[in-house]
Amino acid sequence: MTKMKKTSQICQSKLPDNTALKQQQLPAYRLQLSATGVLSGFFATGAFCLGVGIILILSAKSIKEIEIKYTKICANCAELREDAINFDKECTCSIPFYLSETMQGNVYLYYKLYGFYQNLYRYILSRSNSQLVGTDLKDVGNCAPFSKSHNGTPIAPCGAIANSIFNDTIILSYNLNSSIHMEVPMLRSGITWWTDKYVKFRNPSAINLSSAFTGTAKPPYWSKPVYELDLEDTENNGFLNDDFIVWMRTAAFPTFKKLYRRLNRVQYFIEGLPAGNYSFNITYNFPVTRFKGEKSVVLSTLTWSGGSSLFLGLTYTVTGAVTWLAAFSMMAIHLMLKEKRTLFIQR
Amino acid sequence: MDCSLVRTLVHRYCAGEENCVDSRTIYVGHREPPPGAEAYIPQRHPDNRIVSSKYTFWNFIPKNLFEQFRRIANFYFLIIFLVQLIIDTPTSPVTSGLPLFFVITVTAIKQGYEDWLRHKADNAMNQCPVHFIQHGKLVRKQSRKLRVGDIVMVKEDETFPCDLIFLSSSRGDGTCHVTTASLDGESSHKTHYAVQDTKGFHTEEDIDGLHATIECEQPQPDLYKFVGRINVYSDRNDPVVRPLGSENLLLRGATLKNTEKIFGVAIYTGMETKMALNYQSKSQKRSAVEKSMNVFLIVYLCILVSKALINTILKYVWQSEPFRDEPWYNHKTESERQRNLITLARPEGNAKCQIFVVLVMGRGNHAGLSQFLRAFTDFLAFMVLFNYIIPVSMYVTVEMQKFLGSYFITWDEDMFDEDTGEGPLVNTSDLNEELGQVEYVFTDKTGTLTENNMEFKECCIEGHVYVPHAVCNGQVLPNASGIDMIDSSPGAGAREREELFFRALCLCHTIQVKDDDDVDGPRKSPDSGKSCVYISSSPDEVALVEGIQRLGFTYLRLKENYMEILNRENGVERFELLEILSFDSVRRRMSVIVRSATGEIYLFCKGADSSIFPRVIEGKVDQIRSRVERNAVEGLRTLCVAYKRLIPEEYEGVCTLLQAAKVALQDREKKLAEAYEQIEKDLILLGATAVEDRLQEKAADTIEALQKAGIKVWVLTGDKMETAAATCYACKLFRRNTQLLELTTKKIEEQSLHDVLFELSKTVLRHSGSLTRDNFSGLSADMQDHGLIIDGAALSLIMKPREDGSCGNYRELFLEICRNCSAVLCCRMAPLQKAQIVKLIKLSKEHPITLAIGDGANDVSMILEAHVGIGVIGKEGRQAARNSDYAIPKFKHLKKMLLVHGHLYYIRISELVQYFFYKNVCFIFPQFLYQFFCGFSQQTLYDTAYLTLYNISFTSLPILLYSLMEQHVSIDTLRRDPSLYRDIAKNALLRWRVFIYWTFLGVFDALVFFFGAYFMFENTTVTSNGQIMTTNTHMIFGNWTFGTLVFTVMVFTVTLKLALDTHYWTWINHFVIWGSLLFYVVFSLLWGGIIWPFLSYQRMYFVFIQMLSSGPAWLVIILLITVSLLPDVLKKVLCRQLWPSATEKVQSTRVHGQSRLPELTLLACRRSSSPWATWPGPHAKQEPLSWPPLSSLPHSHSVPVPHGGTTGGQAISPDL
Repeated sequence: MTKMKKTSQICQSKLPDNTALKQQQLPAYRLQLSATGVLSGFFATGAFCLGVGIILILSAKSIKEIEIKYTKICANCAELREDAINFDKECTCSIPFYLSETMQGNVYLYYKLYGFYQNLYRYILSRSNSQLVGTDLKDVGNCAPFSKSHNGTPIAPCGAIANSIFNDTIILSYNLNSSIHMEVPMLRSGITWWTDKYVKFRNPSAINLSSAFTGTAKPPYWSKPVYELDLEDTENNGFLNDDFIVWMRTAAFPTFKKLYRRLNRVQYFIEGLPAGNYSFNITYNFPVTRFKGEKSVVLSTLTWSGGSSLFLGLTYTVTGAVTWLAAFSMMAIHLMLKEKRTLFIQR
Repeated sequence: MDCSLVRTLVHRYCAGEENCVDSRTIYVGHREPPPGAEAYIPQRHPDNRIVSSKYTFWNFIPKNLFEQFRRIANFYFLIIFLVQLIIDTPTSPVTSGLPLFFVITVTAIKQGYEDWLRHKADNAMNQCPVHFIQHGKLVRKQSRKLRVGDIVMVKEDETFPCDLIFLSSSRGDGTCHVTTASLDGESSHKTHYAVQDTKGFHTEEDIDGLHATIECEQPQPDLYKFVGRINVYSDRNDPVVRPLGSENLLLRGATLKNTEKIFGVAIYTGMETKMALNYQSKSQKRSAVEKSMNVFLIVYLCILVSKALINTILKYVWQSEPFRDEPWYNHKTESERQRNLITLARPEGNAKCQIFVVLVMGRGNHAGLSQFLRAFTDFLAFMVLFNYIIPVSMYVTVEMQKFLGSYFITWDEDMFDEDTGEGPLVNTSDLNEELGQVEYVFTDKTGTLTENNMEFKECCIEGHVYVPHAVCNGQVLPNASGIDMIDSSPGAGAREREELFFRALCLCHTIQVKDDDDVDGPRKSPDSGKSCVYISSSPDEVALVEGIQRLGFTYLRLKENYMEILNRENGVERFELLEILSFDSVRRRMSVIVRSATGEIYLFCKGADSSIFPRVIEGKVDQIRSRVERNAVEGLRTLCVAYKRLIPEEYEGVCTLLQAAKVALQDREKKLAEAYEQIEKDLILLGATAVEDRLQEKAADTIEALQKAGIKVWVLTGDKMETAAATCYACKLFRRNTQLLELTTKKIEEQSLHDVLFELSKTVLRHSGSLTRDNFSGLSADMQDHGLIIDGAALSLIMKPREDGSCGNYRELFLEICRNCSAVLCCRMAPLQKAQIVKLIKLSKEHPITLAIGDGANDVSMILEAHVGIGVIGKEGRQAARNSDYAIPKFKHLKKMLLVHGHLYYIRISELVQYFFYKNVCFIFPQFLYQFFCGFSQQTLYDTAYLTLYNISFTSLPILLYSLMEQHVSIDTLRRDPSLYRDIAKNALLRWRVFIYWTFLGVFDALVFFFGAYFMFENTTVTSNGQIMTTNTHMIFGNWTFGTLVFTVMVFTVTLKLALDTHYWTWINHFVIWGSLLFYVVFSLLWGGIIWPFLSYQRMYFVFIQMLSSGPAWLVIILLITVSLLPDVLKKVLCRQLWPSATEKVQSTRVHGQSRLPELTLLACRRSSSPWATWPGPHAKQEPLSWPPLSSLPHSHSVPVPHGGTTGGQAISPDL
């Protein structure tokens, strides 16, 4: 009797549960690539891409951009900077240009470097975050060989990135007429990520900046110490200097553009940059010919979709067109096959 | 003395210690034999501890680590990790160390836990109390303290603690009953016999006085084989020598039944018991998918090495100009420069490099060497950078998929057999996908295709046929026990013969009678004898004895060596059982020698016709032979019965002959066989029996489905040709229009083997040329297919190497013929020949995947040989099921196993493998491309967290769940339409073409991600509107944003690609796919949202959030995902339209058919009545043709005739 009971229990325990999961019978939606579904999907995708593409092209057309490479224009300065011995010799260079149309709205001034590898592995590492956040000026962790000066004092800010900061000064002046040259008002703040400016970079706390940085040396390629980067605006000095912060965000490619200034829309420039004659007055410090690179200045307006390049818009348009092409050819094939099939069945 | 000492030393120190001695001597109860006995060779035996665990507490960590790193993949990752630790690489060692550590830890925990369980089980076993005899007293000790030579007492329902020689039992006749359910699954009670001279020792004191030694062979794993002898010393007499066989041996693991207690002496203990020796694991089978996976891995390894090599070379080309090697803004550190100049100085700065350089070069100061070393270090660094192309997680996912996936088989309700209460078993999960690749099925006949449920049909005595008509639908009517005589009634002499025949059948067997658990109660009244249950290892015997019972003679029991039978007059006849010449598959017969009450000695012999007829000198041979052949044609199993009367002198001779053979320690088997051969001759033929073995339920349906699936089914059986052929017709292996080709001994005797083979190949090839295409479409109506019948003798002729070395020719020719036959039947096969056939096909030049299915011990060799071995949990014990990779209760379950489970597993795992390679190409190729833009400086594109988590958490779960849940077509469709199986034949989804397509798709997608983002960064002002906080400006993105952008596009594309490939969307798929995308986004927000205090860097801070706040980034993400998915979708849709596979057709018909399903079914019904739709042939008309099997097989209702028609119709309708 007990034996019987036992065997029946065993039987029961061996019988698999009839759950949908265990029987692989879970209710499911079957994805089917049916002809109508696929075709409508393709047409919809194509329409979307075409639409976005056209909008993007139109919006990119409305953007004004001007780029001037000045390595060749300022050849004499470039030559001077070939040799590091001439580091204390100042060299300026003026580049006149004509703006045929008004640049409406916000105008941004960029500098652009060609062939400068900010993404070299050792270069990217060569910084000290604890120093930049102001907690420990003596921490020069990964900064070698730009970690200590000859007499052993730690460099602040240390490392290759900080040391190689872009140090040309670019001043845009508007030539109202042949006699009146006026400097275009530019804002040097607000060009960084908010988080960089207010979280990642902090000055060491002290009564004033110069005392905060005592006991440190300036980077070897710098002409002035970090606390003298912007003497006019204390908020924009030391590690908190916007140009410095912008430079510290390493670029992804050897050709890159970094934001330098933005137009302060006052007086004449309330609408943007009016058409007319302008010139860039550049203090040429940054050597590029040594690594066979180039420099340029860029003036540009912006929209929601980015800059003036047609890349996005064109790609969208092409994708949309290709999708439609594919959809049409698929439809043709489908109809052909359908005809064949009906013929076959009739026969 | 000296001599023995030397010998001992030699034995102790020569290799393997005990292998040197081929037998062991045991002193029963540790009593020394009287002096003058043979020299004793002391041996060390292990104690009775069972150690199934692999590790101990102390050696777990080193041993487990060693075991794990023996796997090539783990070792690879370890090397990568070590390289990362030693040299200065861009990726932190954590990125590869953490996953490796995780995998190793999880595996170690799993193995440790399993081992702990094993320890626990071992301990429980080793500490369970055992009674043994010491100085005449019963002592309880722990099992592990048992030693060889101890005398043990075992009570009823206890299991034996070690292998024992059975000395005596509480039963007077010195027998005991044993079940070996835990050893081989046979639950029947087996009788074991105590040694004749010791069975009188009943009490502890008695047994302690026993003075004996046992000599036996060294332990060996065969459960059914044992030879030994016992020397019993009684006072001052010469020792009595008795043979010991497996009937005297009680195995560890078996359970004592129906016996109060027994005494036995331990001969094999601990790890030397037969049970422990049988635990050794089988050789590992590897599936075809795994093999192609390994090939692909090697390809990827080559890609990896070449990528690293290209980058290293380009790096040096690029750096050849000094302004690039060391531009003014990126000076080298002192140590780096020193590395170049090889002036080894203080290990300052980059200490790791220094150490490495010192380690590798010693103090060599050759500039060229240092240059080379530097390049090599760079090469290693690139290797490390790209090593994610072969992810650790692939192995983990594949293992998990296989392990978890195999549960679907055990859970399957359809494969559960309610009659036996058995479900399918999965013994290995490594071969799940191999089930979808089977090309050849080798099946056993008895018990696999047939029920192995024997029913006595008729007997033929001297040409008169007797049919017990008391059978009605397989049930015995209680009152009808008459005989229906077909032929004229025999004369008086014939009646004597008739009764002798019945007595012969009643006596010539090894059946036990199971008497409902009452051991020594009074015997039941003779009338109730009819209800007693017979137990035997051979169902034929039971059927025969039961059949004879219906004809008037009942076998009652074996009592004290007397067999009792009840004759027609209800009188009990007693025969003394003198000898049993037991059955073996080589002789194919068995005999008993009995002494009747009148003192006459008879030898009764029963066996296959081929083994009986040559030994017969008298009897109506021709009549019986013709009847036997007729019966065989009808698919019945026939046995012939013969006898011989022995005069006492003859019997004496027989006795001595047998005794000599039995006592022999060496070659006992061979000597016994010779003795049997000598004894079983000059017989007088009595008659023949016929037993029917019914076809298993749906066997024909299953075979038909397998053939439609393009699988070739071979039947391998030990039966004779006619019986086997009839079964093959019944189960539709052969059809009406199958042209049978015979390659049998008979034919070869007529012509030479050479001629027969060439003739056959000519016939076969003439047809096959024009028919291959039709054959493939599976639709040809009057396909002339061939069936080959070959027997064992012919096969061994073919396989036998010739003297002139032309063996290969015949083999090739034979294979060629087989390949062109739709069905092959091999009869008269010995177990090893079955394996030989499987091996022959397995190693033929196409290397097809083979599957062997069988239920008996004779199928084990073929099950082990085939790629996939399936055991049917049948009546002949569980040996096949134990040795198989999968076990199923019935043959019909093979259909679902292959067509549904195999198909789905194959689809799933092939997608899994391809997808894994694809997503890692997508992952690593942008990294490779980035090197061209960062001066080959090994800068990583992605952040460390992304590198680490990509394979572990962002993209791992969707593919795992896909590979568990996916059903590209429904289970129902797969079962209904076997031809879908052809779509995946020959590893179709893992061919080079497909693999290259996936790889190129990966490369294409990677190019899209990378250059899409690149052009955007180059040309567009990728800026973000910084309105999140206070300022209202646009800012520039850096390299980390670029990497994050590429990574985001990649994670989305790769996941959506899988979503597009998923056909079966359950809530789990939705949850996992959308969930992991969401997880990625949430993780990125978190990762960038805080400056994590434990990180030394903060480069990802707000990168993701800033990226998402930029309009162009969104546009680019959408664009790139679309562009990278488009070609794959396009290709899929176009291929579907232009060259649809059968599976895709079924998928689309399902969609179209849903709305007008009734119409379609109607159509199909009407179609099926048309002549061509009822392929494969109108079964209904098949019956009255030259082969009579279907009509004459009484239970032909088990052949699903109408079923086949519908299947055909349904299978065709989707193709229209």
